[in-house]
Amino acid sequence: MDITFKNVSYIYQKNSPFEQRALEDINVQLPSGSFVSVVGHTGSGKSTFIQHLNGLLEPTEGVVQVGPYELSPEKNKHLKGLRKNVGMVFQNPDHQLFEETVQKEMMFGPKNFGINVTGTELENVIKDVGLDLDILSRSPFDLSGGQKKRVAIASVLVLKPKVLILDEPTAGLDPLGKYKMMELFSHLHKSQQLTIILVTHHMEDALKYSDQMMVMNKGKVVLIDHPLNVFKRKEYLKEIGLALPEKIELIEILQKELNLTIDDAGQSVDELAKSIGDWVKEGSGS
Amino acid sequence: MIEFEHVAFKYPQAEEEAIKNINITINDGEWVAILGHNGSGKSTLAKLTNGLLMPTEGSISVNGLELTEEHLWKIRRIVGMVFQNPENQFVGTTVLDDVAFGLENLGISRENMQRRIIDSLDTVGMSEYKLHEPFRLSGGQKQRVAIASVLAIMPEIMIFDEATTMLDPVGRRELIRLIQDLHKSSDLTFLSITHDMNEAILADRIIVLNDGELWFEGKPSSLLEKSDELEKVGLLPPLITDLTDKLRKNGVNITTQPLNYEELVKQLWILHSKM
Ligand SMILES: Nc1ncnc2c1ncn2[C@@H]1O[C@H](COP(=O)(O)OP(=O)(O)O)[C@@H](O)[C@H]1O
Ligand SMILES: Nc1ncnc2c1ncn2[C@@H]1O[C@H](COP(=O)(O)OP(=O)(O)O)[C@@H](O)[C@H]1O
Ligand SMILES: [Mg+2]
Ligand SMILES: [Mg+2]
Repeated sequence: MDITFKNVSYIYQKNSPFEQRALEDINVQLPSGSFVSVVGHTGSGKSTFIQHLNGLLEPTEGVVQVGPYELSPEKNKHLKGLRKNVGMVFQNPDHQLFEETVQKEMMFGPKNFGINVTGTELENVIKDVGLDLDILSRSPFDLSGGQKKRVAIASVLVLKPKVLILDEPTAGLDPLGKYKMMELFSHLHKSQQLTIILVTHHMEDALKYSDQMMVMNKGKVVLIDHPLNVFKRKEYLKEIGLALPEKIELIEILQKELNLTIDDAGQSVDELAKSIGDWVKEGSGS
Repeated sequence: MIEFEHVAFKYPQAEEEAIKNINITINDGEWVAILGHNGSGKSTLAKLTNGLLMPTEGSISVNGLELTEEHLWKIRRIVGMVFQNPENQFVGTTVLDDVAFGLENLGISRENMQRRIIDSLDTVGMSEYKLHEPFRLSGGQKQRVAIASVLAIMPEIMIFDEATTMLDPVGRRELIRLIQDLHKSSDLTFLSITHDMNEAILADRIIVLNDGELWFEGKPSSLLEKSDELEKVGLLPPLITDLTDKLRKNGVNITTQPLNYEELVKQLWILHSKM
């Protein structure tokens, strides 16, 4: 499903002393099947932006179009159809979990949307997110933070959405879990042409997985491009409080300290190690 | 100083112990990072330290005070904690109130209190938001406020339980730098529960939990030497270590395990010059 924002603004607590303009005149087009990373400083409007994609928030001004569904300040009818297709994993899993057991939690969405889920499918999703099956009988509230996050992700994946919205989905996962989760999303994206909108602070992930990066600053979209192009704007990114992926920082250090030039073309660590190894072995040629 | 002696803890409904026979000592002024897979017992360990949970076996003491009902309030004054999920921690209706709340019973003067509130909000970059309602902030902003509340109290021991997970990398770096400064300039004892390997290797010592047991305890560089075992306990080596391992496989003879790029680049330069 194609996603279009036309002149979208959003204001929290409009007409109160605390009025807060969180989105300002957003115009973007995200084609179906893309993997988009949304990055920006804390408070730049990322969570507000993505909550427009499944109608959790309605634009104060402008129009949001997600496939056949349209959201505007006036009319928002087909929210259920929209939400059936657009799965969303919240930043904080506590906002998402409410059932007595993980099993019930997992089946709530499918029941609500009339989606049939077999026992095997359920078990596979649980395993995909790195949980053991015995978690199904436990209460979601007695789990550790990272376990809750995994349950929240599983309960969205089980709905087989066409668009998957992820608000910092790996925050709180252990390093191996985080890696495996990103690989899982990437696999779903490739094998099922799933559209993914990922809000992330991990520039490494944005670089590695997405085909488009959307950079936000103070409620505006300030850059939207391929990650490699976005990361060429080093000075600008620093100016708006964003970091570079560690690999690109490393390449900068090699250039500065060793006068070793490597193009940042999205290399793997193996490729980097090889280039550096070659330089070491080549020697200073004395 | 924090001492855990043969400490075990089991949640009432649980079958297995979340913490199993743990012995650790955290020294005054030490910065210790705690790593471990999801569900390994990190938060349980933190909650045991300030008596939010009481051990089912063994004993815990903080600055020589044994953790008992009687010493609970004294201990909570010594140990300041920022949780994974800041929402459960807010009490005030404004950011300002929230930070003030923790200071109210400390018996400090009004002016001093005000200065601490302003300073700590400044430190986390949230002064602009002092009149906002805490629960209407973005996730990362909430974490900053929760951190400011604890900074203002200036506890002797500070525990961050994944308190920086929702911060952007720059914000996180600034905070880490602040902690480093505090750590150097005062006797602050700092326990940081984290999944960020780059943050953990800045600590004086690292503890790794695995299924409620102590899996590793020692210097960051010794943990990195075990890089091929990390996956077993849900961890991955940081990029610097991954790269070092791969350079070695490429025949680059790096002898000392580098903890940062400065150290790595130095060794590379020497090797290159010798060729
Ligand atoms: N429920 C809310 N009420 C009022 N203001 C809010 C609310 N949620 C977020 N904001 C404000 O809107 C701005 C954007 O927030 P958000 O979209 O959550 O940012 P991000 O996800 O990029 O950190 C911030 O300044 C934040 O304080
Ligand atoms: N309130 C609770 N009731 C029962 N079990 C719990 C509760 N909280 C955590 N646990 C379990 O205790 C173990 C350790 O949890 P925790 O200390 O939160 O892990 P970590 O912080 O390392 O992710 C996990 O298996 C978790 O499921
Ligand atoms: Mg957010
Ligand atoms: Mg925890």
